[in-house]
Amino acid sequence: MVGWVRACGVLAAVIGLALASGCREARRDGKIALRLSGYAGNPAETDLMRELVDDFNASQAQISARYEPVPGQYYPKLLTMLASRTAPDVFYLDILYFQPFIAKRSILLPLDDFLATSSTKASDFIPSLIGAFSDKGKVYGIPKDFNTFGLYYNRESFDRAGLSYPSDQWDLFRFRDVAERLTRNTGPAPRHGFALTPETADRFLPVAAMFGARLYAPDGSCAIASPAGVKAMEYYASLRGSGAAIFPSEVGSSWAGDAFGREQAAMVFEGSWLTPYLAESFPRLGYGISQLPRGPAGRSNFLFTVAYVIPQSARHPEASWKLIEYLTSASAQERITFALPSRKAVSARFVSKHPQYRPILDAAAYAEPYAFGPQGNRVNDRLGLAVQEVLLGVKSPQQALAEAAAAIDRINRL
Amino acid sequence: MGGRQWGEAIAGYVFLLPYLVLLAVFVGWPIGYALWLSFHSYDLFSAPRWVGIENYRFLLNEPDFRIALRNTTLYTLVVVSCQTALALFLAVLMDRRIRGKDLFRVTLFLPSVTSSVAISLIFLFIFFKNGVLNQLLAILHLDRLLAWLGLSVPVDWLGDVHTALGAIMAQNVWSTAGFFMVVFLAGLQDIPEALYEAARLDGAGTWAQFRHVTLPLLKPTTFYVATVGLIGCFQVFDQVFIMTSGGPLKSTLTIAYLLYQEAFMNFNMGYACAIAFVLATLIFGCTMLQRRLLGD
Repeated sequence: MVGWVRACGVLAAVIGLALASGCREARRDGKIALRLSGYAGNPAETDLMRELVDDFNASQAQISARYEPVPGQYYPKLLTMLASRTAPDVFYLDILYFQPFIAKRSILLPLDDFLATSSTKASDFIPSLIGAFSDKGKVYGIPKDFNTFGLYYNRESFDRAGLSYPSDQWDLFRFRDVAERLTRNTGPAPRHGFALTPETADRFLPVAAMFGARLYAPDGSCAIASPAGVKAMEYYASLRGSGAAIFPSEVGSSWAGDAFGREQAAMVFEGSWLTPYLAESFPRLGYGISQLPRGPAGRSNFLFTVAYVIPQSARHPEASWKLIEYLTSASAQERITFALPSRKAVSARFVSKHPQYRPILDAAAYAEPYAFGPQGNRVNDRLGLAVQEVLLGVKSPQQALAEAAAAIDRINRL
Repeated sequence: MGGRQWGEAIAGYVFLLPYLVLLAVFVGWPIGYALWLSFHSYDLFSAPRWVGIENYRFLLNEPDFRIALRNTTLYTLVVVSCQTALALFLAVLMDRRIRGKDLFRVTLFLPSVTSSVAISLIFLFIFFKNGVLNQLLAILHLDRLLAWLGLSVPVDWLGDVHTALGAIMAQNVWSTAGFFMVVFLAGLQDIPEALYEAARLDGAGTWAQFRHVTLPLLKPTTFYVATVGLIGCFQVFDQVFIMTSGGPLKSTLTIAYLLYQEAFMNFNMGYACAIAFVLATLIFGCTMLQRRLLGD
């Protein structure tokens, strides 16, 4: 009998210890412990985030935040953590995933109450960015920075071919013509005018809009297979058909930016995330940035942005908000080097300090949010498949787009 | 049963209890829960909603599932037969008295104790367009043969719809043959030398000995190798995940990868569970079929 009592005592002690250590998780050194998570972007971003979080911790007596970047599969991990109630207190949310998060799930905490009482105001930020994280009049995320596509070009390739550098007035046909001439005229490297990104629709959709095609009709059905969409796809495939454009994998690169850095392609459509990559891996490359060429129906671009959000399950929403305020403050945004700051005033100063980014900022005036509805990530994947089918020559533009439109309508009805 | 026997039975179950509890909690309950979920629509956030056999009906009409089923079946047929044949061939070689036998055995066995992710990353370098394989083929002038077969040379092995699945098959045959070779070796060493002696006395040559002594007596080993290989092949995931993500154009989409996509990218847990049960049924059915064909 005594043995039983003793055994029960030991068991109780073990359970008590387990519970106590569980509680310790929430408080570290008597401070409120916060976890901040995002995908591990470029090294410049990861380094800055570490510094910012350290500085935040030094400025706070009651809060201790920890930065936990996720390499690789960020959203599967994030959603699994959210479902198992182990989500970080503050995390990155990509514009593409905002509507899917809002649509089905009561995941995100509205930030309006915080905004009403703190010195951070929604009006300090570029309106389209705040708008991208708003739903039914409520703000759910504070954008950290943003990007659009620019036309990156290799100066030396142009000089060698005796061509003038791209200007903001170029149209798509001039662009194709130059891409072909760069392909023929240059020596061993760079050998090609342009590097396509074959497995996604990210670069195709702006081209489609330049031809006047819309992804969705006003009634919400997918309209990408319109005559304008087919024309745009024919144009996009013609870059490949003329031999001017390569796939990154063909030259042993994992993405177009790398093919550009290795001078295998003289032009690419990339956001300013390419700049820190080039600075680190190809410091001697001479390049410039201009806006994307315009099409028969005008200009188009994508607005990429990521916000800090707080899940409804957060245990210390006020402390989490303080962290967001710090990370999106003007002084923190002054330190960004890999994207454009989301605050109006800071981004204006940023561009006067780094004038090469002006085309990226200018495009924000007409760029459309990189978001495709409540099933946006699946719609995006399906469009990518259509682009791949055409570029690999498996299906005609008409057939691939018609099938994609039907599939997207099906996805959106789910 | 007498009182004593009852006592023994109870004691036995008490000793088994810790294991039975673990089995029930970590195997039995998840399987039951997955089966229950497969009749629901569930995205991890809202409560599961009963949909009856809708997930299974959807699956049968879903083009992606058909593609995955076709790819997985093809993959399993080719890989199981190739790796079994190769493993047997290597085992018979290694069973002879040859120089440096131990070195060969270790070398051939090494891939099976290496992480499949690490192997896949290395094979990326072998398979890509300027990779080792294409350089080797060019040196051997085999690239002309490939061009004659209608491939664009140099071949982007993992980027070409016609070669991507084959490339993954080849990698898997290479990495698992060594393990099954060891299994066959154990089987070979169980065959009494006397049988070979008797066969030789009856005038049997090397091939006849292999055909009439080795093969029949290896039958249980072959059954084991084919079954384990089949189960592994049906579940192929890591290589696809690392090397191709199911592409290009779904030419390497397998059932396990589709399941992962639905569960952890699209968060259709109910549908993913339905896929899991179809996969489990498929494996079970094929194993039973194999037992009929190879077993006693």
